[in-house]
Amino acid sequence: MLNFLRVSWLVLVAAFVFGLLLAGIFTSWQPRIEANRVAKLQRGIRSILTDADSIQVDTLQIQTGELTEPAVIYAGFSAAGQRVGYVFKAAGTGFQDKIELLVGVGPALEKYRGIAVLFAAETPGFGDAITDSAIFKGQFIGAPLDPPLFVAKTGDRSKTDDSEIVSITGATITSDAVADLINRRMKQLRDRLTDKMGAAPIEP
Amino acid sequence: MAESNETAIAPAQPSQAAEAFGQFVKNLWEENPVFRALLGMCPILAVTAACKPALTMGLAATFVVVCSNIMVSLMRKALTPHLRILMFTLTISVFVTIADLFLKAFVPDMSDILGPFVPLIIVNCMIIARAESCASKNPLFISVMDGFGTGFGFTLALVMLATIREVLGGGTWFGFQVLPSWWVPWTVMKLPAGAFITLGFMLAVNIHLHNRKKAKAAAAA
Repeated sequence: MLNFLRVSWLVLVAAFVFGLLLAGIFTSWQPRIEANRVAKLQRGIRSILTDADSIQVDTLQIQTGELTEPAVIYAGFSAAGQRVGYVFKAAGTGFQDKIELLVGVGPALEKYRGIAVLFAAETPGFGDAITDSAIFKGQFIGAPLDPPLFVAKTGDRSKTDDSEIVSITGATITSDAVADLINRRMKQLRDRLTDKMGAAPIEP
Repeated sequence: MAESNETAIAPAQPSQAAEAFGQFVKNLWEENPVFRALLGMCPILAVTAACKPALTMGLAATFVVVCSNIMVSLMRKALTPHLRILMFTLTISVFVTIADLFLKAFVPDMSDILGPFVPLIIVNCMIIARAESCASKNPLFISVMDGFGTGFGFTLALVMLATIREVLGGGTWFGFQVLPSWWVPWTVMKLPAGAFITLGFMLAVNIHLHNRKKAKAAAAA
């Protein structure tokens, strides 16, 4: 035992001191890290529901396969208390990493209100247009929920009132992935969102 | 590292400051960790598509190498050969975690862009190489200057590579438009292929300069 301590006291002491140091730093910075995450989420929601005065968080229980799991939705209300739309998260596999989006739908679930990117690591100069290109993202604003979104290689990118999404040149897989993950998430959420709308309106 | 060994054996002399400064300059350029020692290639290729993330990565690595050199130099007399590498890794990983948390808390946008490459500084052999070949054998001041030289040399290499890639690949430098609007961006420069091509050219230029200097010195002798 003594021999063990003599050989390894430095490791033991260093591990203890470093552990305390890290614990202290983590505790003091964690609130800030959490605040950054919330701020990013809020910026995303506000960029979609531009006319919302207040945002209310709600949780739906949705069926995915055999499991029932919670899904967080953000409902936006105008200053007059009118519901202006919902935002939910949708995630899926992109070209080289996951893509995490915020997707907005209108109050009557008739059309999309736009998308915002929470996380994407798509190819610089090609797929990263999902984060940077207002033209690509603009195609989702006003696109109807029915029929589901589909991707075309060529077409008119300024035409936004149909389900056709014209893909980013050189990034067909990324474009397909975005349309696909939105459709998939919408399918999971739609019934539960419809129930929600039928229920007594949530007061902001 | 022969000179450093001698310093460790010799008692502290007035020339220690000069030696420390010499170590700083040597690591900054003559023995630049990227161009001369070819260490830390992973971030060099991965985060140099634009200057801002490259500079952030360089400064994070500088912080880690300086702090790790300080700790290793302070504990150098207590280090036993068989626990040496374990202690280096433990020390480095602590400072990398601190750097990662700092970026997440104070520069979240950069943290998102750099992603896993900040935690990966732990396995950056440039840092463990400095701990092994300098800090574990030298007094504090020399180790600190060695750390700064290595860190700034690494940052310099990252920013040089990122400058070429960002300017040619997007016409911008640190986000500012520097090339006229008719410039057609070389998209390949933003892709991994662009990183390899640029690094190859830069290594060639560096070796050329080095050889020329050696030839001049030989001619003079």
